[in-house]
Amino acid sequence: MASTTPPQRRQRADASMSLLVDLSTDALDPGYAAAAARKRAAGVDDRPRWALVGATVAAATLVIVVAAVQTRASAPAAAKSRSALIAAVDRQSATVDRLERSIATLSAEQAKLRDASLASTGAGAALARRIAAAELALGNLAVVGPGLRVTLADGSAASGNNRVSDRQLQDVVNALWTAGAEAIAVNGQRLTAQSAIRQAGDAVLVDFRPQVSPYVVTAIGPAVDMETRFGASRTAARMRGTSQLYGLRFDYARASRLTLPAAPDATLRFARPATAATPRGHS
Amino acid sequence: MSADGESLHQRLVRALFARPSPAQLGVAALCGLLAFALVTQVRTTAGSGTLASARPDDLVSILADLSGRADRLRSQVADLQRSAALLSNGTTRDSAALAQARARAQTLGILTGTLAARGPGIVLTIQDPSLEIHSDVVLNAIEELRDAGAEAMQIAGTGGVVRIVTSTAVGDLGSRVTVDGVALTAPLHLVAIGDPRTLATALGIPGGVVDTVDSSAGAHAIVTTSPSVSVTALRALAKPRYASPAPAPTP
Amino acid sequence: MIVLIAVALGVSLGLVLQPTVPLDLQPYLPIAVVAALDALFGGVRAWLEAIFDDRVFVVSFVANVLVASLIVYVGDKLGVGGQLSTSIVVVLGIRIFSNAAAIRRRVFRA
Repeated sequence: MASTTPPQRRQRADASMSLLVDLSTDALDPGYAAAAARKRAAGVDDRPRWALVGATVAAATLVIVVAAVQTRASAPAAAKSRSALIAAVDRQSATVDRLERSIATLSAEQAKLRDASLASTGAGAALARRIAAAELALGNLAVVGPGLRVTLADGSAASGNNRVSDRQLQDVVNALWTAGAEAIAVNGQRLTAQSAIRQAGDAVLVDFRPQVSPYVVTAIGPAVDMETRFGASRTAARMRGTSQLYGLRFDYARASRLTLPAAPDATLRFARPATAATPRGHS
Repeated sequence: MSADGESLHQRLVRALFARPSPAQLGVAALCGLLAFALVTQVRTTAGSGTLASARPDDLVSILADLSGRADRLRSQVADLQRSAALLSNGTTRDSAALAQARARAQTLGILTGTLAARGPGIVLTIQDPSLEIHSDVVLNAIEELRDAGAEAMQIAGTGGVVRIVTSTAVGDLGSRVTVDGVALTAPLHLVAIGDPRTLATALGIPGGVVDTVDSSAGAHAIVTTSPSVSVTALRALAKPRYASPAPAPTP
Repeated sequence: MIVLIAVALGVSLGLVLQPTVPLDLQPYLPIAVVAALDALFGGVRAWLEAIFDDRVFVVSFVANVLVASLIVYVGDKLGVGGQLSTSIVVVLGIRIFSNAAAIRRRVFRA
């Protein structure tokens, strides 16, 4: 079936296709046809040396199997397949979610028992109040109040710079704290002292949870004051410029009632209370 | 026009409304299967859209982060289950409740900056004689350390020392960096308590904090790990005036 | 018949020995696999068309693997290793597919 006739002068029109055409028509090594023609011409009918063929086939199969084994063996170590990695990330995210949910239920049950027990003594009640105040300040308590809602979203153009980056989100959050925010959440993820905003591909991870555009940053605080101070901040000016240049969405508006969820409780694994303390301001 | 002179329209009508032959049923089944596969693939790609374009290196580190977090959460669950036993027992309930409350108060104290803390960690020292370092570097350092699991942090410079908490905000005042309003001048010392290796790696990634500082004229960053660092700067507990506890439905 | 035995032998050897490929040769393994597949498919098609020649088969297998690896090696040195690797896979893939289609035509007359 191999055609080795040179292309006709008349077929100049599809000359550019010749590579693909040759690939398909010459798919079978022309050596076979040449060898067959040669054998016919010489009148010989050589039977193939099957031992040789067998050895080659065994070698070929060996190579293929070794490659397959190799790929499987290195899969857990480096997970070359992206979809396997993504599936693993999804699985771990689901596990983390499940664990956080059970922690939340367990904590809630125990909090009820604990609160009941603490309320029965004076010292206990005072301790409970201190804990509640600290939770409020840290972010472990759901809160409601007026404030500002800032929305950032990726631009729809295909240009490279139109994705909201983790640095931009960090800047906006930083500017909101400066403007007087008392509690901030990004896409419903409450920020605490340990919350990090970090980027991977298209997604920005807030507290290790992937979030997608649009990113809604809600901040509770004095609404009018925050709007003025945030609007006048360098971050807002930069974001307005970036928004115009690259088509990102950046806008903010006051909200009279924002509800921010509680962040899950955290335990410390490395930090312990120190005995000596230095008052603030000493270096 | 087909062979026996039917118009396209007639062929179409005939094709749409005639009874299907077995061959056509076979073709139809295959087309249905293809459509099903296409839709499934589109939904799969859409579903994993958030991470679909992340680089494999990013995915590997996200996976490592998530696994570490899952391990921490699992030990937290174990702790909670132990304390559940103590709390549900009537005789131990009160003392257990008090002990747990004290422990929680301590944890919260460290996280909110009202208690001094000690533990393994790192010290990031930034030398900056030409005052090239601005607030963006400090912010980046704080975020990287948080991402690496820092549990308590403080930053010190000429001008004061500030405990870093949830609401910590950095800014610039002239050529000095301000942290929560306190203006600091280099050399800056950022102390963080956590796993020293993880914290040090986070600061040392290519293009990370150490690289950025070192590439600024005259500035230099050093990360020192230590089995014991102290975070002794304190701050008063914030008393929110606009945020109040939400009425509690279940989360 | 001996070919079938050879395939079984290759598979079992690969699974039993489980050789780990040295790190330096790992990038060339996929290329070698595709080249091996191309030679195999070509051989099967030639046999079905009664023009099989053992020497051509062996030479095509060895030459495919060596030439493909050489191209990728040179490409690595020039900095286009990944792209050349892809192009080799594309070209050999087209050939494999063409041969497979011809085999299909022969076997199923469809």
